[in-house]
Amino acid sequence: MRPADFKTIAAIATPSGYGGIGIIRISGVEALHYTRKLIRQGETKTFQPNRAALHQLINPANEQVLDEALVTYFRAPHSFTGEDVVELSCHGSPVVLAELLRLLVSVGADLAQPGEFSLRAFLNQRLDLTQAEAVHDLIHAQTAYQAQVAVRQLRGELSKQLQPIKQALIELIVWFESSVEFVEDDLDSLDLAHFRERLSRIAEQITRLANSFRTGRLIRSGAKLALIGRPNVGKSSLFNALLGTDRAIVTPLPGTTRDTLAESLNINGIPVRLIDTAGLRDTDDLIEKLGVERTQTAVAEADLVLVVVSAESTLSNEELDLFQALPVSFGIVNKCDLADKQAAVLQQALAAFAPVLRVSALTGQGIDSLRQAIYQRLVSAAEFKTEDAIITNERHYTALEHALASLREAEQDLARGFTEEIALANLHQALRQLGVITGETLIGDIINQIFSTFCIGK
Amino acid sequence: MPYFDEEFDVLVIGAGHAGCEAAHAAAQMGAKTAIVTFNLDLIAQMSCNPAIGGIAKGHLVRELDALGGLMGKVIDETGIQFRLLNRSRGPAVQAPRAQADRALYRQQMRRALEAIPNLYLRQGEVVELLVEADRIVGVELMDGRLLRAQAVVVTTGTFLNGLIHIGQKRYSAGRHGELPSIKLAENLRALGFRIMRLKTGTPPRLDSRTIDLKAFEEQPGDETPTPFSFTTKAIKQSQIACYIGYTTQGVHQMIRDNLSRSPLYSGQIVGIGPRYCPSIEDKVVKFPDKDRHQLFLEPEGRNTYETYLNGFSTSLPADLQRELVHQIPGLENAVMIRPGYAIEYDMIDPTELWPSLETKSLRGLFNAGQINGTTGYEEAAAQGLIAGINAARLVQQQDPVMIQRDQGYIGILIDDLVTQGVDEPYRMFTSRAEQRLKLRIDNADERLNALGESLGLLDAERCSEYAAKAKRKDQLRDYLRRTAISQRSEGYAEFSQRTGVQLAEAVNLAQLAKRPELGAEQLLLLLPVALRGDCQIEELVTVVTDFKYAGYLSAQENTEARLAKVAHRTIPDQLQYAQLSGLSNEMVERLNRVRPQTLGQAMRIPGITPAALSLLTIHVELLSRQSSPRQAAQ
Repeated sequence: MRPADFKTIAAIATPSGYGGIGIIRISGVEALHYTRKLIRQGETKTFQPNRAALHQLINPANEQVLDEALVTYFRAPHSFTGEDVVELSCHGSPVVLAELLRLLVSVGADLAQPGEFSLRAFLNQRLDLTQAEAVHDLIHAQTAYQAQVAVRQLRGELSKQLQPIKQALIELIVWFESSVEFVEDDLDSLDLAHFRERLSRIAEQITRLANSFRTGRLIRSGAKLALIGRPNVGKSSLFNALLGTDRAIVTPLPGTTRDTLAESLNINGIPVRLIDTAGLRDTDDLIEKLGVERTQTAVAEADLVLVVVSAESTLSNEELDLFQALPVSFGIVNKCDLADKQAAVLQQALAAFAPVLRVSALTGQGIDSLRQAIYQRLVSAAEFKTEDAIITNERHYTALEHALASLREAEQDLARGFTEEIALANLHQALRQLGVITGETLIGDIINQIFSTFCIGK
Repeated sequence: MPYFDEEFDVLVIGAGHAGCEAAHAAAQMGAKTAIVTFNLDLIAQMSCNPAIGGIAKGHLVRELDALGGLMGKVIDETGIQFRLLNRSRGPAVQAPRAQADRALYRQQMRRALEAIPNLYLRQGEVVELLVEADRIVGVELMDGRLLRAQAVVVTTGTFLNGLIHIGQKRYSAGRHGELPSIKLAENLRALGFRIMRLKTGTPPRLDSRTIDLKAFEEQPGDETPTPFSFTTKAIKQSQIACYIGYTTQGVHQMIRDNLSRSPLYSGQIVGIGPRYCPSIEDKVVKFPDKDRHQLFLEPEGRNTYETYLNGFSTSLPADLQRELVHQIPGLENAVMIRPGYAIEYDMIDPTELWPSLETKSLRGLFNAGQINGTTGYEEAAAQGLIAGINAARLVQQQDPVMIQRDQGYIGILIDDLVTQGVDEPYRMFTSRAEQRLKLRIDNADERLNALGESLGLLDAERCSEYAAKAKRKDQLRDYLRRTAISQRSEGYAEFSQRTGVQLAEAVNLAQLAKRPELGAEQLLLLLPVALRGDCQIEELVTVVTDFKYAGYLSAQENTEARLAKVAHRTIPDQLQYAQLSGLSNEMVERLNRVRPQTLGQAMRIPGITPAALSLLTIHVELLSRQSSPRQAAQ
């Protein structure tokens, strides 16, 4: 199957439900041809490679203008897929994007299967496996920071970080292998305690790397934040203040926020999904009750739990219970614009349970500090360092976890008195797992290292 | 059609360790077989050190034996010192090693070959392979005889274009004092085979009467020798000790001062030598910080004073060798009977072979042993056996036999050779096995007897003995599983006293077997007398080890099973790699060279990138979809 045999495919390249720009990608020999059919008569239809040009896109059936789009042409093989590619960057809503895609199919394009662009890139040697996965993350990058991490992984940052750890593991294997394989040679005998120490050092380093997956997950999937509080303490207003839009329904009546709303906001580059919950008030109202149950679920799932109280009232027992029962990350005293003095009192009262911030959702007072505090908490929880490689890929994380499990088993085997060949079974297993990320180490490489390390042979 | 002096089904060129096994296996399978060699008095000559076995190599001999091979039996009969290596480690890495009586080994092997009715020994030099339309039809000898054969196994060892180096002196030879095989080398080159050049070496041999043994440490054989062959009940002959000594800084300095006289360092030798049998020159140069190197005095046999100075392989000039030997403590007055030498020889790139060891370009032609780039008697014998089996099967118009990598070291050896090729002499290591814990000397028969039996390589008596053994092991397994041991159990007192293990509560025997400090010998104490008398210790070793390794074995098998789905996918014969989009020229070249039969084999081709492999997987998948009518109808 040659590239020319592939049909020209099209798909929406940006995930659905995103605001701003939506991109439709067309790949294949007919990419330009199909694009021209969607451009208004009379407009210039020559395209310079790698140049974006503004065009009005129309329905060819009735010449009706659907959107104004930046049209970029990438000539084969200098494109993502290695084929001729056209990208239409549209302003339009998901509805407009879907309509444009439908029109492309009507003029002859095939609808791309999930992953088909990557597959073609792969078949045309534009991507290897790790890159393909990193690109997947890149496409799904929700924020600039996410994009940066994805780009770094693309350059093999993770591989680079892992390399010295892997080398240390190989050295350990080399020692064990030689002691098993060359008993007749005059080799220095193994100091087992020393090797167990080296083994646990390797395990520690992998643990540290695996821990960054928490950060990785935060960047990719976003953090989950739960807002808890009695009805009408201003949770919804606070949510809106953080979000900067007017999504939750806000009324002065208690219990109006009937459903759990989940929206994404951007806190210093980390997408944060704020789970706005209904209050914890006892109620016979069924819909209300559903909301409360979901609140408890939300607390279990959340990375951060914010309990909101109002500066307008004193602390109820119920609220104190909340602080005692829940893993509260921050206490928030809202409406401090209305009762500044009381706010200070409440802050002091709650300080024993959790850090407390005073804000006003109405005036915006303290909102920036809150955002900063949320960021700090998320980042420190993950021992996050920007210069380190960050694991963002589930497959890589799993590989590290498996490697770690094998190393722990090897440690246990040695501690229990098993000899090297048993420990080696697990050490090789760990090495194979690291190979999932960095590429395989062949046994020939290990044998080579044995001979460069030891003088072996009669 | 030329006139043939004699006609055979299978003809084996060379009677070394590969040749003997090849001829024996083919003849046992019913093929009329000839073995042609320069000198019938030197059948199964040990060109290098007089020893068989060692770690991974001992494993190979056990597997060979399970398939009816000769090496294990012959060394059991002719060994003069037996040791089980790695005794302090687990059963997976233990292996027998033996010193051989070099002359006796030759005699015994010849007798074993002569005992086979349809096996014919012929002395002569093969100078040409006779070929008709890409198919081998026979060989021509130097004396003009033409021998017809449907299949030919080439086992030329170091003879193919052999060139000996001692200092600046060099001369053509197969071994020291033997003729080389020059015409056959030219013929193979003319047939278009990719020829490479390797090198190996030997140390000087000394007169033991002139050695001061007090300066050496004695290394005796095991009190109870471990046999190589499953058919050997016990080794009864007396044993002879080896001796361990060391080089000195003085020796090293003298070597460094005279490196210019070494053909290795002057550029005279171009062939690549084995790193695990380095010459003393190499050891001194590559490991300058090591202040001494270990040496072994290995007796050559019961009826000779000749001693092999193992560890001192060299191609330095003979006069210098003598001086160096005299620098070694205890060898001040040693008389050198034969100098050490290096030998370069031709080999054929083993990626020119199918996994059956048949060449891809000439139907009926098989290669085995050093010609495939290996080193070691055991590696050679293992290939000889497989080549012999498949030569016979070709004649009998049956599909070739292959041993899988998880089935035995023999399978690993051949897969590595035909898939990866070699860039230095290839030696077996246990670390080459993905499933090391499974491939043990104690269970080689479990792994391979069935195959040996089905091929007709094992006689009826052996098969029934094996069946009885399997039954005993099943009983043992069953007993261990269902028996709990407590302080009241029979044998507990002695067991506890000997092992220091105290059981507070009853423990299942199979669970007890998982403890690292408890092996078959200790657990034997807990078996009832009736059962104890019935079973061989090695049978208990197998059963106990299976319990001990169970967790690891199943973990390995799970990994393998996941891989196996892809790995066992057959690559269609007609697949044209050059036609696959996305494969670089380099990848196409590598794949074309090996022409892997499965995706698993493709995975093991060196330099094949994961991307190329994924690509190949996708294309194989696409091809199978296209050929499936249900898919095509969609």
